[in-house]
Amino acid sequence: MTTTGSGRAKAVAEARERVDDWLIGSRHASYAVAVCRIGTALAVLGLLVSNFSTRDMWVGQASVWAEPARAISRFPELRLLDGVSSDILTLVYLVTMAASLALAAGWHAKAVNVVTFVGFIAIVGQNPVVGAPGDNLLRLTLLWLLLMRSADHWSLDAVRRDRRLAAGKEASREEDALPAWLSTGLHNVGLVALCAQTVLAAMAAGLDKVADRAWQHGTALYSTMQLPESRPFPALSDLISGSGVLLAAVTYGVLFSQLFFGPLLLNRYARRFVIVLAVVVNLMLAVVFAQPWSALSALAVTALFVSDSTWQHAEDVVLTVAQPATDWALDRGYDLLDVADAVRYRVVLPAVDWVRFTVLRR
Amino acid sequence: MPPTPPEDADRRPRHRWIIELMLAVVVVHTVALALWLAPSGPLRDTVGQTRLASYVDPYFQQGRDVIGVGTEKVDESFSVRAFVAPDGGGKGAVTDWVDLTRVDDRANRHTLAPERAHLIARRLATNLNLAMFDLTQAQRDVVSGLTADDLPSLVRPALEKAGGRPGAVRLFQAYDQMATQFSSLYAQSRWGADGRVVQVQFRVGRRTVPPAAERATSSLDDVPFDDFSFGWRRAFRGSLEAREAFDSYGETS
Repeated sequence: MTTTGSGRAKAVAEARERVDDWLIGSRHASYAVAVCRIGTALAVLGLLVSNFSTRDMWVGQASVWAEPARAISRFPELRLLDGVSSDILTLVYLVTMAASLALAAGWHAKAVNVVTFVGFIAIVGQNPVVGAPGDNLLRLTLLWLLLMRSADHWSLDAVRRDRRLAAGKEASREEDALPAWLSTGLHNVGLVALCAQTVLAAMAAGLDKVADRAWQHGTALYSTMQLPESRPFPALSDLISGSGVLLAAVTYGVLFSQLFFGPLLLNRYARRFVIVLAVVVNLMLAVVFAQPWSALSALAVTALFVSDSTWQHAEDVVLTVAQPATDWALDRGYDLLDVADAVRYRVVLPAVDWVRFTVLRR
Repeated sequence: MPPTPPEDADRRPRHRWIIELMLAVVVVHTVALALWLAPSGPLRDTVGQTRLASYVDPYFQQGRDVIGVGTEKVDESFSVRAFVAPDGGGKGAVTDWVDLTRVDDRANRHTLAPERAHLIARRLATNLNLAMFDLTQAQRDVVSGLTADDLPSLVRPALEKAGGRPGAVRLFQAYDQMATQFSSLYAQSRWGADGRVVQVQFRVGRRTVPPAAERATSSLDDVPFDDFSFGWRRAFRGSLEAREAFDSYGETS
């Protein structure tokens, strides 16, 4: 009895050690998290840019009609922009756009992640009537990214850190604010949470669809593509909805990529299949239903399930392919500098001399 | 990635409970989300919908449609007209109906990233249709007979007296107010140059996409809208900034 009890205690202790090693040992999926940061930030930026010209109608003074919906909403952050002038709204809007651009570039990623998160909630939550389901995904992704070290790769922070380390200096005070074990632990816990949320969201969407008779009969996308608001490119919608084969392929693609997203991640080869399928489906939905920012946010979290070795391989390929292009661009840059120098010496300086000696002397 | 320094590794046994605790919180959070998103079942019912909602709303709110495309088969319309009195006095006139959802459809056509401002009319139509279906027939009759002189504070008891749920009345009044204010601001930008917009009226319609099996013989364009009619409403003036912002929207129609 005692032996069994101590055996169990030992097994529990070993399991705990393994969990701790995974959690605190090293940061996982750091390339994938970088891709998720870039995709999420670009989705926020794209949403804000595409609505910039009508921001007053959407969330500014001209959205006064949405006040009853705001009153019902339980989101306290709404008050950040409630009733502010057009100038204040524009300022907050521009700051959030700048922060999301900086987040995509990985410039002081942690700080701009906070600004993007707060700004995004304040702006998008200001008009609950025209909110989109993808807004929730973006908001939750930004929230979990706050825990993660999302700028370890493909970021200006990483470039700066490498330069400082090469010069024998410490990485940066911003990155060393927390002990390494805590920073690593938070990163991995955030990663677990975001991955779990993504799998749950995909599977819930799939379960909801298979319970719907229209999806069971394969007519759900047909009906949706007949509605004026869901056919921004009528010819494309008609092409898909008019062909039984295409419609069936897209329907199965959507269902597979959602319902079986979680289970198919468990096998190495099945994971590749379902990730490629999810990417294709989201790209198609982005164009056919004109939902680019929702699709980009879904793609960003899907990228979390691509292994770091694959991302590193992709990086190598891109760098190799881009090498001639960057060399060419540098050469052209020097050519441009030569042209600029020639213009300066042959046109600008003689013109300045002419003005000095002929006009000013009088 | 930088390795964990040795001094941190020494400290790990003492402090690792912090990370373990956070992981436990994440696991509980994930289970709560899984139950929230799961179809109805014994485990979900044991925890209770209200308890789950109180945790998930509003911060972790997510539905079953955050990824991918939803299923829609109902087309909706939101139309507006106004009674405009000339500035110099004289007899006013009622404008033609303008279907704002069609205006938005035109604006969104061939646009990869449509502006959310061009979703407003349709969302108002959706919510008003849902609010009207929540009302009883007797309440709908009251709604269709409302005039600009009926104050909201008096409309509520009249609707509640006609039966139905009080919650449905509150929801209807909220969307009625939104539709009135939106229609008023649009009417002033569209017809404000002709005089003073005194009253506005809106109507919402709905029609269902014909079954896919009938696609060879009928299309959505063949199906007429079923309208809900609303009485006239006193025009909402709004701030100068609000009216100016609506001008650019009115220009697209």
